[in-house]
Amino acid sequence: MNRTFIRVVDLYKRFGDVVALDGVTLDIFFNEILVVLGENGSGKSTLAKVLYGVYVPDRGKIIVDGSEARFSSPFDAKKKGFVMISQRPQLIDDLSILENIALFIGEPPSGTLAKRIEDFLKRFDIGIDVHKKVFSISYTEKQFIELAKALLINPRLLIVDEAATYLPQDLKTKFFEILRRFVSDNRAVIYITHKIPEALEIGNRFVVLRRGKVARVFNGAANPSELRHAMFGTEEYLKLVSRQLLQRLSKDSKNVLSVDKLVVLDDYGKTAVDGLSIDVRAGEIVSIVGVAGNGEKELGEAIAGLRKASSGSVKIDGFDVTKSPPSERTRKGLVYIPEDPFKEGTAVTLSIIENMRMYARERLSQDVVLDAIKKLGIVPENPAIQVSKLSGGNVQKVSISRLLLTMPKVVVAHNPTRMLDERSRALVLDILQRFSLSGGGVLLITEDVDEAVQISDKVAVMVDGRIAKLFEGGNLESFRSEIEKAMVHG
Amino acid sequence: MVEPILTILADPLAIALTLWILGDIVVERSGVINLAIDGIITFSIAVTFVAVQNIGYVQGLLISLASTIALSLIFATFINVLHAPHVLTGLSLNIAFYGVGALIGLRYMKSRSLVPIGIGKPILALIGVATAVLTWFTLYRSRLGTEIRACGFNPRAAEAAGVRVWRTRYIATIIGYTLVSIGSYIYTTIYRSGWSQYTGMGYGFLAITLAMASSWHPLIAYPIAIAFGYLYTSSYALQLLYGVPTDVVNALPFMVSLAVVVIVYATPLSKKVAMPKALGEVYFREERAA
Ligand SMILES: Nc1ncnc2c1ncn2[C@@H]1O[C@H](COP(=O)(O)OP(=O)(O)O)[C@@H](O)[C@H]1O
Ligand SMILES: [Mg+2]
Repeated sequence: MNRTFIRVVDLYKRFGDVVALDGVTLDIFFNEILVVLGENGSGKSTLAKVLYGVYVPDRGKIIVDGSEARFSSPFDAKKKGFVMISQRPQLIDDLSILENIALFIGEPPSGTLAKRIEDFLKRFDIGIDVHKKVFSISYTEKQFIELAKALLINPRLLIVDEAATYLPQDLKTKFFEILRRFVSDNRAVIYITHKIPEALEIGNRFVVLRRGKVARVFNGAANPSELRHAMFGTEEYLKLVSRQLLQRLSKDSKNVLSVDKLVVLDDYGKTAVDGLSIDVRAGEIVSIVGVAGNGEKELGEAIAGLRKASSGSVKIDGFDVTKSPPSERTRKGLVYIPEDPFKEGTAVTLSIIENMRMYARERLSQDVVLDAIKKLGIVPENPAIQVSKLSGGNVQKVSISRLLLTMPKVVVAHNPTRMLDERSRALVLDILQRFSLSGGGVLLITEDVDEAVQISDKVAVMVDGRIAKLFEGGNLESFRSEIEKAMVHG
Repeated sequence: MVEPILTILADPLAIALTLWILGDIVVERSGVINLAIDGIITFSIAVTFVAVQNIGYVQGLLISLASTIALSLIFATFINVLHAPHVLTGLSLNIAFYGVGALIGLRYMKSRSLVPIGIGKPILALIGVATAVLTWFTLYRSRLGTEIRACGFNPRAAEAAGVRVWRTRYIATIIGYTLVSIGSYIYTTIYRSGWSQYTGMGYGFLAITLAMASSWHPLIAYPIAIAFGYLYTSSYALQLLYGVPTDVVNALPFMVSLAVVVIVYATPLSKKVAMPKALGEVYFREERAA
């Protein structure tokens, strides 16, 4: 009853001395959502890009409906009905939504097309002016535009490369519904993710990639533990993230970060942070959780000095830095890890070691660099490799590495584990915990409630630029549902 | 009232300049720095001149078109297939093209001048306006134009959307140099009707500069070209009538262009007409972006 739609036979692709795909063979059936799982850098995106014609494999075949298909560009793949939605929206910022979609479906950007798109988006309750330039819309909107444009050409195979992973929960549910309906009609979806719960929620079958090879195929049911073993070869890392509150410094240590009645505007001049106050003491982890778009980004940037505060104050280690440039704040002991590792967290055209030297602003010995690479599990373990050649999760790790290179007093991190697989995420959370145990303060701005309740002393819920509720003490995990409620309803 | 305006709009130098700038805009909107344009214009003026002199006006136009496009394809091949750096390729090809143009001109020239084509002002003016509007329509309202601009903004994302970047850049080059060639034809047969070695040299760079000044937008480029042409050809009159010093008169067209650049970039207009960000980026398909 499982009719084969596509066979991938012995795909092999290497980049320099990194083998990204090392003989991958798998079948894709009609009417299924095939989940491809794997740790960061295991070759998932490379597989997706080969199937979409972005990369030409060094060896191996793609057989569609029984005959071999050769793609030398996405143009060819699209002709076969293959479409990919990628990890980062591949839209052209300076073109309008309409022009982007027109480009993709091969029509002039006409008024009738605009109408069709708007009708299409309305079916998903998304009302948006399609004449807006893409740079002015949010990440979530971009991903939905990507999905819309893919569905508008009626593809036979939809490859989703971590494109839904970072969407807010309600939209993700909607996205999943669309995918389920989509495959019912002699089509297929390849859904790529490194998140196990998400995989189990959407998948019919599961393929686990490890270091470019198919580690295991689950035809039907799978459980988290088996998936973890297939992905990482171990589950040990789960033990890393447990609360180590008791060993923390005494409660009356001094503030390393104080934010007082801070007001910050967004790019359009609207109030994004609205008189917010929060303190972080030495040895403390404070989380701010919120649904994206409630001022989290502006808050982080204002603390880092990348965005002007309209009023209020920011103190680092007792010094008022409200008017200081970012470099001054760094000198006072602040490390800021921005949300987007590609655009803000790294200089992608430089190598890993060059990025690290840039963060540290001093000579770094090879040992320190290699140690940071090890602690974060960056692959490949080669400091000279250009950051743009790393997989998404590993780029994020390079961005995080700055907190291991200097002796900061306080770390402000915005969604630092968003792109990381479970094990890397555990490593990073462990690093944050160790940092706080050694007397540092952490402000973790995150949309991941799990990590907030797992490692924090306090969890503040941010809604509309303000702290709507503060949870502290005892077992924060027990407040989880209350926290989630507060995130949505304030 | 109509007559003097028509005269300005039908100024053959301004029309030639309009076509050169528009041609350059189409090429650069696809992401290719078009420095070879100066050599190619010099070449196509020489070819037009000798072809018209030796064979005829219509044949001259066709020969000019064919040879200009052929040269531009050499340029495009260096960029798209051999992935050569744009600036270096443009500058070195220029030197070769100046030479080839001079060689052909000197070898086949019969006399230093030819009989200019008599063409009505309304028609000339119409050529200028219509080409500007058509170029705008193609770039901003057609499928091809959207693809061309996409390649100039972000070739990798364009490729991911199913655009074949190198093919699109070739097409943009052909369209652009068709306009350039017609511009050279108008320059040679209507405006100048004469030729000497290296006639036209420098106009390519002027076209690049003015295209940039317009932020690569056809409908902004057109008035710039007309104003520039007017000031350039009437500078002699200004001098006679108002006694403006020669140096100021000669600098005037350039100062006006500068003023336009300032106006375009200092007002919200520049936000609306985004420049081709990937201009000059050597594009390989397999390098990763994310
Ligand atoms: N264009 C490229 N150049 C060099 N190395 C690359 C390139 N694309 C991917 N790689 C490498 O191939 C491996 C697999 O990457 P990728 O497929 O992106 O992993 P992921 O499973 O996280 O999506 C990584 O080690 C990455 O560094
Ligand atoms: Mg990936």
